[in-house]
Amino acid sequence: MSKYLKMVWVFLKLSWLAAMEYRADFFIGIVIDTGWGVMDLIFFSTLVSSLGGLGGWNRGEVFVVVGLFRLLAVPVWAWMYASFSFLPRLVSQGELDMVLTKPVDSQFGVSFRRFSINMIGSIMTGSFFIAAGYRIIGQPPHLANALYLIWLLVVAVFLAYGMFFASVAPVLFFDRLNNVASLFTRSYDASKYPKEIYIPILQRILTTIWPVALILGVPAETLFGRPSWGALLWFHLVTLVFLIGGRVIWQAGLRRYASASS
Amino acid sequence: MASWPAAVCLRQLMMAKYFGHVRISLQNTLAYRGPIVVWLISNLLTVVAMIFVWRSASAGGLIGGFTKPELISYYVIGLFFQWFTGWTPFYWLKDEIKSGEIVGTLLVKPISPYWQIFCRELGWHLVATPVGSLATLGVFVFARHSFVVYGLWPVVLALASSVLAIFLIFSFSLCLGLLAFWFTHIGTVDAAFWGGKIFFGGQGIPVAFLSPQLIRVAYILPFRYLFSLPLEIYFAKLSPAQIGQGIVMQCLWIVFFVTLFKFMWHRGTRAYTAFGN
Repeated sequence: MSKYLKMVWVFLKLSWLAAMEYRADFFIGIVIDTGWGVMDLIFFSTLVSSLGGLGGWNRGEVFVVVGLFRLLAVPVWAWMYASFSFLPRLVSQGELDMVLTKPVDSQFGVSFRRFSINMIGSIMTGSFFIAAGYRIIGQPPHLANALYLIWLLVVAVFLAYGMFFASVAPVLFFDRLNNVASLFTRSYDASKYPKEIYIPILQRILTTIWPVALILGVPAETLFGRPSWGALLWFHLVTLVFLIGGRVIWQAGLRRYASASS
Repeated sequence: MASWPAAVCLRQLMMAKYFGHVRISLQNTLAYRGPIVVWLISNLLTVVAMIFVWRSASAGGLIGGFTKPELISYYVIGLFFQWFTGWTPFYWLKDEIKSGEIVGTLLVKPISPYWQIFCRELGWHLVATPVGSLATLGVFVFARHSFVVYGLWPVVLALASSVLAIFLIFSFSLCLGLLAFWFTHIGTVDAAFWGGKIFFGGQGIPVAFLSPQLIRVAYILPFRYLFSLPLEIYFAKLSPAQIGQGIVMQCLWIVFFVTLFKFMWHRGTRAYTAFGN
């Protein structure tokens, strides 16, 4: 375990060195990342001023959820997308051999390969949204709910990882799926809306087969003091299913993988 | 007069070269259909979410100058325009420049690089656009009760504007891709382009939702003419004079980016070195 943690630290340092090699790119990335937050601010300000709330969330709660969305965007984009977006090229150009022949688990090798260090903007805008949301609500969260939130956000990151990995692992079965990483990122974008706005069958799909609605929905409901023990249990169970399922798909893919001559 | 048949033959030979590129690109697209399916699902996810967001609004009233049915129709029509006008050779062009493959694919070929790249994109879009149209039709059937149409002329003019938008986005994306002649790492350039298109281009939210100051900026930048202008024409949000101004701005931006492409190509190929091909 300590070997893997040390390797994560080394990959982080290498990513930092690479980012500092192209400093203009790094600072532009921070500006663009902040810009996405500004765009969310304009969109949701217009939305809540027109609608009052959204689904089961009132105005303040909408801003808090968007803040959580921007904070969770950091592991989704800075870690998972940064690593998984290269997986199709690794497979199609035979460079996956360089990962498979290393004395570490191959899933770890592709999952922690790269990090994007320029998402400071998301941390700032996310924190701003949460503060603004609670200002509208008029009272801070209960301490117990806030502590539950920290644990549930950790589980949400695991669920996001499981879903993202399960969606990119099929590149081992299909050629040239260069854009497969966009499947999860687009559905993650949709997770900032409450599931109540969808028709029942879509709600069922978004909480079971492709449970993006749970990533933010369950932590948010717990934070707002409306936890459902069934939903909490289901949240943990689904996370476990996707973590194991992604692994199963990956291992099955590796069994049929034949290098493209590296 | 004696040279006229020779000129016609030469013209036909040149066209055959371009058609050859279209054919090869089409064959590649049909051989690797996966990316189209992924784009289809990804775009549908975004559009379906936005449709349900606006459906949850209470009926009546204007939201940013749009009625609720107009907002829902905006995203349905926008889905079609995303497929129809999404000509972005940036990704493979920058990769070919970085890897040196461009030497074999473009630099030593005796035809126009602009039109060769256009033909490669055409091959992809001959498959992607019908697929995207089918997807749009499916979403339309689902949202048909909220769908609005303001007559034949807005549709025709919007399509004409979107054809200009194709050339604009294509030329813009080409210029961004050619930055790879000088810079090793240009990923954030692409992110800035998409950020501009989504924010100032109306792909995320209608441009009308922005503050008056930002709308003025949007009217100056090219992003509005990539996506929002055809939609504004479709929804009859513009007077005939404003439509004319918008079309003229599209043409001016096309001329700008084509000129910029020629300049960057000329300077870039002089500065470029590659190895291993």
